[in-house]
Amino acid sequence: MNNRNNHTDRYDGNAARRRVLKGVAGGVLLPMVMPVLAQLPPTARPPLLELVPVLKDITRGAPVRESRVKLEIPHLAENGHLVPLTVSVESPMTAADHVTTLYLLSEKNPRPIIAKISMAPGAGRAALTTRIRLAGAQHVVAVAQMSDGSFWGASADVIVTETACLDASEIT
Amino acid sequence: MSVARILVPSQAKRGEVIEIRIAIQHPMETGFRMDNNGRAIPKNTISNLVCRYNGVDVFRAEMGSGIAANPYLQFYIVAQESGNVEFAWVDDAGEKGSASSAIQVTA
Repeated sequence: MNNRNNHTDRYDGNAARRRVLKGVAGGVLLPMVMPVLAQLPPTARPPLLELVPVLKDITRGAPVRESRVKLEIPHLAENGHLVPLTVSVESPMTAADHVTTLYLLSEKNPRPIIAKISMAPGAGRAALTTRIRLAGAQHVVAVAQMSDGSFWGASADVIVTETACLDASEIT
Repeated sequence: MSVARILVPSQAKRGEVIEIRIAIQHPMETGFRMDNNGRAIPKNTISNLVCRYNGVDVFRAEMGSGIAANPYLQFYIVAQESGNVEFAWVDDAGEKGSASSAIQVTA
């Protein structure tokens, strides 16, 4: 009996400690964390046109909607010489509605247009996998032009630990 | 001389979406590199690649220095008729390459 009482006492002590810890976490840590969270904008990505000004020459003023295009690229690329990338576009790929051109664009490479891919309605699936070079951590942008002339795009940011020395200025 | 490996399924059902892969042995020189004597190595990339399926253009790629060396491309086409999937490409130095593979389409 005495033994059991001792047990309850110990548990009560633990509960009290937990209450104190909760109070510390809520009262002290939360105000510290909240401003940091507030500063992080929700999935903030700059507009595509800001990332790759060359887009203006491609679209000639037409809007680029950030949807339908899916860009799969590792968030952390160890080697900028070889970064695998997959782009897929939601499109039925019929003669009436298909992707005509797919652009892969880079924010910081000395030549911003990585590749220009032309597709035909007979492709069945609008998707492409390739390997690109990246000169430093940056955003990669994929833009698809549909057969009706509309533009759709997506961007992804990539951290590159070892850059591809695309620019002579970087070698020194 | 460009060496390429292509992967096209040898058999497919009509209407099936098939995966096409090609890897070409090519340095894809950026034009920003120097050789041992400090002279710039001229840019040399596969600027133009086209894939034809029974003579019809199904895929075209204009690649710059942003594509990694030994470019690899993977895309899709719909199997329609038996025939050939042919690739032809040319680099900045004017060197041409080609590869083709037969495909048999069953109903």
